[in-house]
Amino acid sequence: MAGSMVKRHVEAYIRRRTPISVPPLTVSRRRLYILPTASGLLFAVLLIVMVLGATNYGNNLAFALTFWLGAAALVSMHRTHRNLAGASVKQVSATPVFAGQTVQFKLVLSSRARSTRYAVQVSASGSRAMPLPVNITPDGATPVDLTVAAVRRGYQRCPMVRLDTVYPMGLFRAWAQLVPDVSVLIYPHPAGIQAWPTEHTTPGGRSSLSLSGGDEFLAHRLYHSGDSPRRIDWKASARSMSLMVTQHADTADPTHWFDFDALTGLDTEARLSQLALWVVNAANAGHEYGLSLRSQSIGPASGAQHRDTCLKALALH
Amino acid sequence: MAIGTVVQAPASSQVGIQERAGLLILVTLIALPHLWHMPWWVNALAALLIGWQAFGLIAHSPVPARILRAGLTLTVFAAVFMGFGRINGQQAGVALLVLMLALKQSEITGYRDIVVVLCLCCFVLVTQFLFSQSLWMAAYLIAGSWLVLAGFVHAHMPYARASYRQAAAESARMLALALPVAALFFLLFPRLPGPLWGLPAQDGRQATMGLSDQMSPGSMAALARSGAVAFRVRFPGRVPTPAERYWRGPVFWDFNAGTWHNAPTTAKLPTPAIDRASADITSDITLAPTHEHWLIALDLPLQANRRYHRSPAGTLLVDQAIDQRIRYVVRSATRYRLDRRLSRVARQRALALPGHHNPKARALAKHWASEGLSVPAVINRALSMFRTQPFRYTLNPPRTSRDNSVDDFLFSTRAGFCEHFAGAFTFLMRAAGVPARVVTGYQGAEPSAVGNYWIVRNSDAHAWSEVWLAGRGWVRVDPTAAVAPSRIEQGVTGSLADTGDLPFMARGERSNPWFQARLLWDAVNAGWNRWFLAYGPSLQQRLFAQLGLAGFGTAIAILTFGTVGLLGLVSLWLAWRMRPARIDDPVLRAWQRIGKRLAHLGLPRRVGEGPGDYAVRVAAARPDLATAMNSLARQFIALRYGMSAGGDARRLFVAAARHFRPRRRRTHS
Repeated sequence: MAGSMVKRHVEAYIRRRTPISVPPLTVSRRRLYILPTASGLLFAVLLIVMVLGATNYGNNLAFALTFWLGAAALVSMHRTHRNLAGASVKQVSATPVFAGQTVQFKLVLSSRARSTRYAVQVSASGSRAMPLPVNITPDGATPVDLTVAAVRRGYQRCPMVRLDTVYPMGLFRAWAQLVPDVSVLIYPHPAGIQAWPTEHTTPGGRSSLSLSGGDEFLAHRLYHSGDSPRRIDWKASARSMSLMVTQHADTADPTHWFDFDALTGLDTEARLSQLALWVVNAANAGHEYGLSLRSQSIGPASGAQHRDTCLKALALH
Repeated sequence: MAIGTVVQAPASSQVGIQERAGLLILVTLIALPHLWHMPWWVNALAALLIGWQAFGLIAHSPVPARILRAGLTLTVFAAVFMGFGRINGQQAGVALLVLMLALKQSEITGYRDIVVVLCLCCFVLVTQFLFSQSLWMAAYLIAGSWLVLAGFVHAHMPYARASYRQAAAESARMLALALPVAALFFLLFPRLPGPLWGLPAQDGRQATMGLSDQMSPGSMAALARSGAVAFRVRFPGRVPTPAERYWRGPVFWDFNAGTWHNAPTTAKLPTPAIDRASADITSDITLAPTHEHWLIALDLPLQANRRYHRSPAGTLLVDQAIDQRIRYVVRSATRYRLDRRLSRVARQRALALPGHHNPKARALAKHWASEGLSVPAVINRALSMFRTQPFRYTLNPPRTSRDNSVDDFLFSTRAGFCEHFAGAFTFLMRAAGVPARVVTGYQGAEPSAVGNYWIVRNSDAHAWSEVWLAGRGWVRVDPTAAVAPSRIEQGVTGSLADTGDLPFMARGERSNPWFQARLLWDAVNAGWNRWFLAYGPSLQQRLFAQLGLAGFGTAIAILTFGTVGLLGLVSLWLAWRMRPARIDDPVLRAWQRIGKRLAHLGLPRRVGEGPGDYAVRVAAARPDLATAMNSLARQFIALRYGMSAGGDARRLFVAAARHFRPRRRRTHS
């Protein structure tokens, strides 16, 4: 019990001492911790037994071996320390995911040192995972993925990154913690059982025309990313010197309006989940849709960018 | 460990074929020198186990079933117990360790197993030194440590990228860096005298060749067949003449059934009185372990520089058996009077001839005594008998009976080694009423090729007599010397010396290159023994005294601070090895130097800030630097990103950058 208390205090102490900053983050010697491992303790016991034996037999070669191995173990401690000191996390990036999924923070480790830093393990602090160690070569950049659960919608900060090394002898473990000031957007978990809204209403409640692909030509408008290239009207584009797409009235493929307020009988999170599911489905089906979130209304439009805008609005609502 | 959520297993929990093969080779190499110390069946069993593992690796067979492993473990225990009669003790313990380590190979499945095997390898390494501490073993120590440490490093490299070459290099580097600290520990770590829990019973260990605590026909001849070095000696002052090179060992008072020894039950003899002696020869002796108590010293030892007491016959004794190589300095007198007054007990003991065996020898001596000869005349009579009658000096004398060994030797076989002559002579003297005793030790010394020291070998082992003369005390008489020098048969040992003459090797083989090489190698070994192996508690105390250290407390303090200091240097060197790589482009280097100088003024370049933006920001903060900074930034941009990369322009920029030394802004400006 006392052990876990101490452990908590030490963790809190380390956390307090760990500043949050934008990459690149470098492991400084002052924030590098080192302790013997279980193997280190076993080795220490071995050395004690050996020195007792050497004394008993008055055996100088046994003394020499024991002291040499012991001194090498102490040198390995410094080697372990230097193996990590100065390593840095150059870049951290991640693409948004839905809550309930896992988010991958893509770290790029680098080192300005002349020699390779061997066998550095990168993990999210506190995770039980045992990542494979990597070598950080002097010239290249070493990519490492940090996978953590995306728990809640909104911005999720990159977890405290823990760099560990037991290289070269496994007798000592040096570690450092870095908190990159990098966040990733977590979209609401897409879920819900409500039916797809069929009523085509604008946020104001007026009936509207679907402005999407159909048969009946309606107008030209500027090209947005995500529009089908087939709808580009090249003649009109040439006239106006910018890409134009044709708009057609279409009754078979209506514009959907996803309205937060229309989802009665659900709490906010359930509504956001339902809206997220609709957005995902509509985007997958290639429909045109708009989103109405209290004071905010987005769209209607289609395409990946629109989808991301909608999901971001939902995530941050 | 205790703090943080430390992920325990480093690399993978799976151990691949390559890793297991590497460990198997490592274990084989580490255990290899034990081949010479183990009985054949242990070697065969170990070879069988290792071969089986190797075959399993090649055939990709899975880890053997638990029941098979348990069965094998039991078999190994049973085999060791049946072979040695025990499972502990030096040889049995080592046999068990080696066999279990060979067996352990089959069940390496995880990281834990690897670490355990590597630690056991260190242990096997250290057990080798119980059997031998020769220079070869020192070489083996270096190679073994290097291999085991490389094993450790290899196990902690990322699995797919582990390289034996890099592991070996890292291991060598660490060992080299560890050398100064290890040397400091070797010198200053408190050395405690004596065994902590007692030395193991000598189970199966071949008894050390050396002088023994009794002498029977054949015992010295057996010793003389060994060319091993008994001790090496330096004479800082005068070198004793060949006739003076008698090294005193155990002295025997009692004769029983053909054996000279010291019976335990007899009354205590007084300490001998030495007078008219001046210590005229100093010898600095490095003695190989004898597992006995006597300090071998030039006759007659007066004092030594370690704790000793004197036996009733004048030999120096130490309290603890000499189980390690030791070094000591003895001062001896070649002219002396030993026990000018013989106590009654001593006289009784020096004349005792219990029983009625050897009747012919008794009768002969009685006859001499009855002739009314003086004591010196009796001695001469005996010596001339050896000289004139066909006595042969030989390493291979015919066997004599146990009870009438003296009669057999004197009247029928007439062939013997020094113990026959010394024993028979002493017997004759006692029978003639002259107090006498047998002294064993060494006779002779052979000069080294280099290094100005002398070698005394087991083959120099010798036995002679001491007779007590009124007014003179104990006087050495060497009956072997009475026999002609041409007495060596067949040259069996090649290093047999028996009299005060030059030893055989020194006389006959000096020009032989092989002999020269052997002597040279001996010089290396002598240095090894003198400076390395003999370093123990007493030499450490002397070193402390020379360094002016008060004792262990001061030594430990120096050891601690020295270690911390040396490790600090190690850390600095490691940091230097990990220093940032030098940027190849001098222009970029110059630009970064500018940034560094400005950073000292509180204007560091921000991450991702271009040179133009940086110059603008610096100019805004420090208008006085604006011109210079803008010019430098423009040049840098042109050189780095522009087309023109002329040599002159580059040199100009580097020079300008070197001269750009912004000062801290003065407060009044």
